[in-house]
Amino acid sequence: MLWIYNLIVAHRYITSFILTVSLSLYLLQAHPTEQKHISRVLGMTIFLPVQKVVDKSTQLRNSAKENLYLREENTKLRNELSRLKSQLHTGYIENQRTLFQDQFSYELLHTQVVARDASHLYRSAIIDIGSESGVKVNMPVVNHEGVVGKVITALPHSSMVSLLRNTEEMTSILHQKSKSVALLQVESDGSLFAQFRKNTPIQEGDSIVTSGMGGVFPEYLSVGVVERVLPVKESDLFLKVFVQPSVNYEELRDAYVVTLDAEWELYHKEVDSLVQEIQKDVR
Amino acid sequence: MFGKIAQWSLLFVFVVLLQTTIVPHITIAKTMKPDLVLIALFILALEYGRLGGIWGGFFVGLLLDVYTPSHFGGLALSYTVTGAFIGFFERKKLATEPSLQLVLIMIGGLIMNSVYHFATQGIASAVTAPYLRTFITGFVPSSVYTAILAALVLFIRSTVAPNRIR
Repeated sequence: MLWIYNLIVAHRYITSFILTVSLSLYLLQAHPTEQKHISRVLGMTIFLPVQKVVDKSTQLRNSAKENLYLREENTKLRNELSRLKSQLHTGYIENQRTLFQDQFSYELLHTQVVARDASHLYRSAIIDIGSESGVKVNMPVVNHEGVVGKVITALPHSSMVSLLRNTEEMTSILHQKSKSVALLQVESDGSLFAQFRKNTPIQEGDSIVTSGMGGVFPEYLSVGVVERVLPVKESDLFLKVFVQPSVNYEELRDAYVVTLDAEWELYHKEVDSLVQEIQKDVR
Repeated sequence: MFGKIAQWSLLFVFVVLLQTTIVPHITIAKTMKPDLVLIALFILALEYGRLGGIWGGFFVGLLLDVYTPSHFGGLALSYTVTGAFIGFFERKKLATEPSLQLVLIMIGGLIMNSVYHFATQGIASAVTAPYLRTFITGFVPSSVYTAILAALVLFIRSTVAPNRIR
């Protein structure tokens, strides 16, 4: 036997070559079932550590693929959520509109605020509907919270709304408990106030609504609540009452134009002719 | 001895993983596919001669066969023959220049691909037009690509361990 060992060692290159090539050829020629069996046996014995490493690598690759898939899925779901939220918002708006329609006997035109006063005072806003949708100057603009303002310019496809906080605006309001009427005015810093007669029983938190006397806003639309009442002196005739508006102007997005012509539009011509006559008499 | 075998085994496992994961991404025009396993086998065969080349080639080929069993034994045969060929140029016996090493690896690539082709398609396919076409459009570009990558690997290796390779 020693001579065989010596022969192999002496010719180890050629022996190794013949052995490995023979083994390879045997594997190549083997029946597919046998090949699978050998492959499986090799995979479970001498290549087991390799198998584990390959498995880990495959797991990692699968995790990476899964991660990518989940990321895509996440993006899709986020988009879907965004879409559903948008739908929900639209549904909410529709619902609010229906409620408004029930509350009002006037037709409401839904609109969205597309631009606002650059300052924090929120004096004016631009809405996305105009005269082509039926919007006219002096039409009231409201939302589910209350009075927003009134249209001051109506272009074909957009309109400008003067908000309640505009210093140039004065709105006739009503203290709901006492039925006292006053004019809502705006301070230079944008805060709303009204002067009620001294004996009016006003308290903080009381509700203020439109009186319907200005000719623009229908009556009993929510304007806000009494924020504070300034202390009065003996000599004062009026109470200065600050009003917290019910509309959150910072979050103003959706609103409704009430298709209601100003009441005094009917008497416009008569008033104009009366003014002209007075002017003639004065001259 | 066993430490060296374990070290090279780990290297081959790593290279096989690279070959199956990264190479598909750096393949050019579907046919120019570098062979990282061949580069590793080339380094092994230059270091340990024919014996290392033969057994290293056989085992790495067998390893690839186990995980890509389309023609079981075909890769074992082709890498064995290639390892034996490169082993003739063992650096202890022959002072192979870097440029010659690249030529060697190119020839090694052609041998490996051709042997695999014959082993799986039959020797008679050597004279057929499809083989010649595959040889020119597939084997030669792949071997060149492998040689280019090998040049990079050998350069890095000579920088990291200058005493181990010329």
